Parts: sequence; structure tokens; C-alpha cells
Amino acid sequence: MQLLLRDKNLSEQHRTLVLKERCVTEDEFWELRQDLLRDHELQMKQKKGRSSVIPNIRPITEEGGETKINITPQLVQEIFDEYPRVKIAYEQNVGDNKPLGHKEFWKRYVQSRFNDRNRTNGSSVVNDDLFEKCWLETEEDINQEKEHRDHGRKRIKISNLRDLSATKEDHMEIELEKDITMRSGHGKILSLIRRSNRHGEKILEASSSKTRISKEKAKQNNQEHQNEDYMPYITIDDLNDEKPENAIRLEIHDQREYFASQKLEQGRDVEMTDSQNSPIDILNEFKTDFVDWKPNLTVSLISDKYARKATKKCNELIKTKQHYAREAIPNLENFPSPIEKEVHLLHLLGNEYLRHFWASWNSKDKTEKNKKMIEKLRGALTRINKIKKMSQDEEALDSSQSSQNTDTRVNELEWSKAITLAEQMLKPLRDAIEIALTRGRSHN
Amino acid sequence: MKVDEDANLLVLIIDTNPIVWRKSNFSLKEALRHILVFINAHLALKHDNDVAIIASHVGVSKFLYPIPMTHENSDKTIFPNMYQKFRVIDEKVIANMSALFEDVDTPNNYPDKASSMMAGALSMALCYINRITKADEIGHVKSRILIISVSPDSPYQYISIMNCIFSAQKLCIPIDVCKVYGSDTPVFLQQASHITGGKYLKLEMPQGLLQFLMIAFLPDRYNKKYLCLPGEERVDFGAACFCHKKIIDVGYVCSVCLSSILNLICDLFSVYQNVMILFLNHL
Repeated sequence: MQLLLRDKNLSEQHRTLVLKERCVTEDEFWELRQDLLRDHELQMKQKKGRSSVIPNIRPITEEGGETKINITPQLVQEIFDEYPRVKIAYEQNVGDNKPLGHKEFWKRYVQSRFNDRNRTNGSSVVNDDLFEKCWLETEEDINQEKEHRDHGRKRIKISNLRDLSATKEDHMEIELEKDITMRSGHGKILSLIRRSNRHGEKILEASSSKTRISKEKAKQNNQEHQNEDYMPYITIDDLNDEKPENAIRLEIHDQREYFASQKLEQGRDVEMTDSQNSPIDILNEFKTDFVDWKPNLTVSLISDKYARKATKKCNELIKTKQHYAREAIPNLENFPSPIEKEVHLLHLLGNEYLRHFWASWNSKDKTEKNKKMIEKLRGALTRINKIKKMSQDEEALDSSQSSQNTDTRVNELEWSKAITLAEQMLKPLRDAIEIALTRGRSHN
Repeated sequence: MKVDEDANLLVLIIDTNPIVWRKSNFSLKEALRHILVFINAHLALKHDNDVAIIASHVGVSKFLYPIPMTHENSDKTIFPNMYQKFRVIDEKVIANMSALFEDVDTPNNYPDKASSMMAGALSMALCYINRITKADEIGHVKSRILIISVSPDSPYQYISIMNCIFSAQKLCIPIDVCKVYGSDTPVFLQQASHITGGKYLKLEMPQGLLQFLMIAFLPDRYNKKYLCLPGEERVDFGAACFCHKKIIDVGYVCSVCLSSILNLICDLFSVYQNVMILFLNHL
């Protein structure tokens, strides 16, 4: 049902075929469109993951200078997740016996520099003690995370593979601003990078359970082996032997026949022997012919007769090409609407019947359906043939809005032109139906 | 980019299969005279125009021009009445052509004497064009390929020719085909010209070769847009069954190798699954 709502074309097809014209039943309609149903189902099943945006409260300025802040509980949760210090501050300061109220807390949060540090825009901020403290504490947290990973050991463990003699030239790809403060971890950019890394880790952890498991494993391993695993860093892939691929070879029995695009004439396959001369003779002949040959290009090369014929032929080719090009695009401006509707309808019907016919073509349990389709195809064919006889007056009588039709009446010539055009449009469909019918007859 | 600054590179691939040329009533020498005049005309259109000529022989394909000459043995007399460039090219082409025919043994030992090494010639042409385009810093060289063919397609070269056609399509190099003599339609070359935006022309009258060349194949890439040139538009795209080579309208497609077959009993394949599709005849 939802599929029909979403896709206009499909719903129109459905309406026309199943409801109005009653040519196929609902089940049959959907039988052939299984893949659409399947795709739709899959789309509905997928759940959206956690948003990866760093939670940020943006005030919306409305008319009149008021700024509105939308704080949803979801947003609050995200902020607490991202910045645990804010959560602690919240718990400490907001509550029944505590100084700040819920709204006030968030108001101060938005106005404080904490919120705005995530954005580079530095205007309209108020220095807020509470959140300044939060900020500094968050920074400390990030910088100390590395150390905490080694279970609180004071001395940071450095990997044995790290190059101690690396200078600036070894890191030319990454250009960071020079750190003048010379205090570890307090550079602006480093802390920005660390913050982003932490955020990214959190998002990935939330979405996959694998990282959690591997992290726990890694922790276990760390406790057991103090040595680092050097193998991945030392092995050079190019020096390893290539493993044989597990591919299934496509076996073609006869390569020549497979690759030939057309049937070769009899006896032309391998040797091309002239009745009179053998190839080596011809080759020798050419060799002797061409030795010391200096063609005289100053004498007339092409006789008058041939030149004329050639030009004539070229002109003919150009003429036919132009003719086709001109005739190809029909003029559809004044196409009368009843004919158009009929063509459209027949097209839909015909294609649907053909689909069902071919779908039940070779299967054993659908012979009944196949026969039914044949009947319907015949019906469609007769209907196509009837288009010739559509006349304007009939249509005017049939429809109840005869007054409106008088505006859209076209003269007889245009009507007949439109009918021929409609027949041309339906020609491929008619050919396909006829092919199907002949196959059906021969099959039975 | 002004059009006046365009330099046009025409790469000419001449099919020199002696056996097929012998069969046709038109001799290769006559054809070469026509072709040389055509080349001169192309060079005369613009000072910067350049040409490269490749001969596609039985089992080999060789450059006829330009070849760096290792030793100068052509006489250095300057003909005052002839444009030097014409003369140089004409001489070199003929000299290299006779050198090509000198070697009788290699073509003789080649099993499939009915066709010529079109795939090799096409690849050489594309490589040459690529080199020239890369070497040309200003980006003014516009290249195209013209194939003068007499021999039928070789089924062995199907994949190679198709690969060349697709790379020419990617590089926007039109491939024109002039079929001087040939009994059956060369499907590969027709498709080549169709995909790359070139023209395919089959001559009923080889004696009018020069006239056809001048009318249909002389205008370069820029001028082609404004001229209506003769060429056969209908390309035979009909799918053929891979084992019988009959044109089919309903058949099966193997989902592994994408080859179409008439029915499942064709014994050419050892592994297949069947998907049925309908082929509509392109009219």
C-alpha cells in the first residue's frame, strides 16, 4: 500500500489496470513486481543510526529580536554523552535544593563560551564561570585520556617503533600551526583534533558492537603481553608470495566460435586459397610489384564517369539521411486527447499482458495462466486495430461533456493524421503481441 | 580556444592484405595513388595538419609514416615544383610499403590469411595519438582515425578490437571506416564508427575512391559538425546467438558471461544460469 502512495506512476498503473479496466487481478499485478515490494520492505526496515553531529544548541532568532532555543530531551542526552563534565555540573547545580533551575542552566550554557567554542564565531558570548570550569576540565580530560589508557601509569608508554629522530620534514603532509606554548597538550589545534577523535570514536562505538569487543580483547591482551605486536609493521606485502585466487574458471569449449560475431562462410575459416594462386605466390607477386614503384600523381587519377557516380551516390545517401531525420520527430501539438488516452491505455494494457505472458511462458504450473493471457492478448490486438475506426463524432456522443468538446474539435484532416500517428506509435506493441501469439500457437 | 589554432592529426590505417586486394578488381597501387592524393589534400588544408599512416598487414601491422629513419638514403634533391612535405610523405610511404612487402615469410606462416591485423593497427594508432596529445602542451591537436578496409573481420580479434573501440570512445577520437571491397558487413567496424561518432561508408565503386574520400572523410572534427556527410546510419545491433550466430529475438542470457543463447541446449557452455529476456527488433 505504501509503495503505491509513494510512486505516482505505479499507483496510476495500478489504478488503471486493476481497478478500472479489470484486466489483471491484484495478486497478479504484484506477482510480477516482487522486486519493488522487496526493495520497499528493506527500506522500511532499516533504522537510522546515531547522528554524528556534535551536539550544539543554536538559537533561532525570530522576528522581534527574540531568540528561541529548542531543547529536546534527546539533545540533552546527547550533550551529556558528549561532555560528561556538563552532566556533572548539571547534577551538581540543578535540582530541588540547588541554586540553578533547568531553564536557567541551559540559558547560561548557550550564552557561555562553552557552546560557542565549538563554533568559530566569537560574538555575543558571556564569560560564565561555571562553564569555563567545565571547559578546562574537559580539556584536561581529553589530554589525560591517553595516559589513563595505560591504567594510570605515570610514565606514558611509547611504542618501540616510533621514530625518535623524526623532524619536521618527516611530517610534511600534515601542516599544523606551530605550537608556541610548548606545553604538552595545550595547543589549540591538538585539542581540537583530540576532541574530534574522541567524538568519532564514540559514534563508531555506538553503532557497532564489534569495536567494544575488540577493545575488551585488546585490554586483555595488554595485560598479558607487554610487548607490542611488530609483525604488521614490518612485513612488506610485495615480498610475500601471491596466493592463488579461488576463482572459478569460465570454460569455453570452442574459443573461435564463441568470439565470432557472425557466421563465417563455409570454407573460409582457416586458409584462404585462391583457385589459381597460392598465398605465397600472391605475396611474392606483391613484393616484386612494389619494388621501385614511384607512382605518378600528376596524371589524372579518376575518370569523369566514376567521379560523377561517386558524387551522385554520396548525395543520395545524404538525402536519405535528411529525410529520416526530418520524419523522425512527429508533431504532437494538436494531438486530440481521446486518441491520446486510448493509445496510452492500450500501451499499458498491452505491456502488462505481455509481461504476464512471458512470465508464465515456460513454467509448467502456469499453463492455464498462459492460455488466458493469449486470449487477452488477442483482445488487445483487436482493440489496437479498432483505433483506425475511431471517429470524432463517436467520441463527442459518448462523453457527457459535449459542450467542452466543441472547443477542442479538430478538423477531419488533422484527426486522420493523428490516427495514422497513433497507429505508428502502437506498431512496436502490435509487433510484440503478434510475436507472442505466434509463439503461443507453436508452443501449444 | 580558437578554431584557427587547431592542428588536425589524421591517422590512416590501410588494410594491405594482398590476398584480398587481389580478389577485388581494384589494385592496391591504384588505391594507394588515390590515398596519397587524399593525404596531400588533408595536409594542404592547414599548415599544422599532420598525418600518420599505419599498414595493417597479414599478421603484422607497421607504421609507414612517421618512422625515424636510421640512415638517410633518400635523395636530397629538392623539387621546386612540389611542396616539400607532400613529397617527403609520399616517398616514405611508398618506400616503407615496399619494405613491408619484402618480408614474405611472416605473412605466409600466419594461419589466418583472410583478415588483417586490425586490432594491432588500432592499438598502435591509439598509442601514437596518446603520445602526441600528451606531448602537445597547448592542447590544440585534434586527432581522428580513418580506416580503409578490404578484409573481413577476424573473430579472434573481437575482444581486442572492442577494447580499442572503447578506449577511442573515452578519448573522443572518431573512427571513420571506408570499406572499399568486402562481401559481408563488418560488424565490428560498423559498431566502431557508430560508438565513436565516426562515419561508415561502403563503396560500391572502388574506382571512385578518391571522390568518396574527399567528400565524406576530408572535413576535420570541427567542420563535421556543420556539414551533413554521407554515411550509413543503420547499424546492425541485432543480438546473435553465440553458438549458431542466428539473429534471435527471444533467448536466454547467461548471468556469468553475459552471452546470449538461443536455447538451453546449446553445448557451448559448461556453466550457465538462465534469465529470459526479450529482444525487440530494431527497425
